[in-house]
Amino acid sequence: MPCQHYKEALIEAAGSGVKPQGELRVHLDACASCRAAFEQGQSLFASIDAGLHVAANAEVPASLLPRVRARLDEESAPRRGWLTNWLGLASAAGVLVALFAVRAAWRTNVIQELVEMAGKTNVPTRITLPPQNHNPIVVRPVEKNSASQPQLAIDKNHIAHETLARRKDRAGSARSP
Amino acid sequence: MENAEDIAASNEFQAHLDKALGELPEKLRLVLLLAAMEGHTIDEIASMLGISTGTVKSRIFYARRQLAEKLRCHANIIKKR
Repeated sequence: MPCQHYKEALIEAAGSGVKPQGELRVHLDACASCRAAFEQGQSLFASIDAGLHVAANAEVPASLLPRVRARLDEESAPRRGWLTNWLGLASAAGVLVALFAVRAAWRTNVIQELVEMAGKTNVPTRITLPPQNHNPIVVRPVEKNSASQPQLAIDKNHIAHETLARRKDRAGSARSP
Repeated sequence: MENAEDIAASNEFQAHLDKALGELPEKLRLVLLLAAMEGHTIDEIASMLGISTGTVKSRIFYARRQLAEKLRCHANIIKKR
């Protein structure tokens, strides 16, 4: 029986594979019982490591491979053919085209409504398009030949003139105290 | 060259080892078997399992220690190996 005081240290030293140092070394030199226990522990750990190497690197039995392959075939996802892939791409493209068409129709409706509103009120109306176009467009009714048939013209430069006029106003107000 | 008695003793110890290995907690057993496999370093095991190298080392330590405690009573077989 090893001495109780050195039992833990003996196991650790035997398991680590390094030579005992210091107090333990001195005790092992003096105590035959602990020395025998240490050697037995070293032998046990060496056998465990060898057995683990065998267990971990054991060859796979030939009968296991067909079963593993069968299981993998069962669990693998079904492969998609080229036709399925093309159909998927075509569907995605169709959805995109539909989205653009809806957006374009919506934009046209908005402009149409504002143009009609400007024609009714006879007052220039500022149209602010959806975020894609940040420049407001001014629509005002214009009479060409007949007063009963007002036609509409879009003055895209109106905003530029308006901005210049505002700048002049600001400059004038800044000069005056 | 091993004689029949050595082979029998070896097989007997291996059977005890396999049984003790099966009784280990899954975390310890996995790390120990990966470490026993050729070509797997501590760093590789750590990255495979997503744990630190310190954890790998401590699991190997505790796993080997538990196996030694379970197999101590079979130490007489080792002498025959």
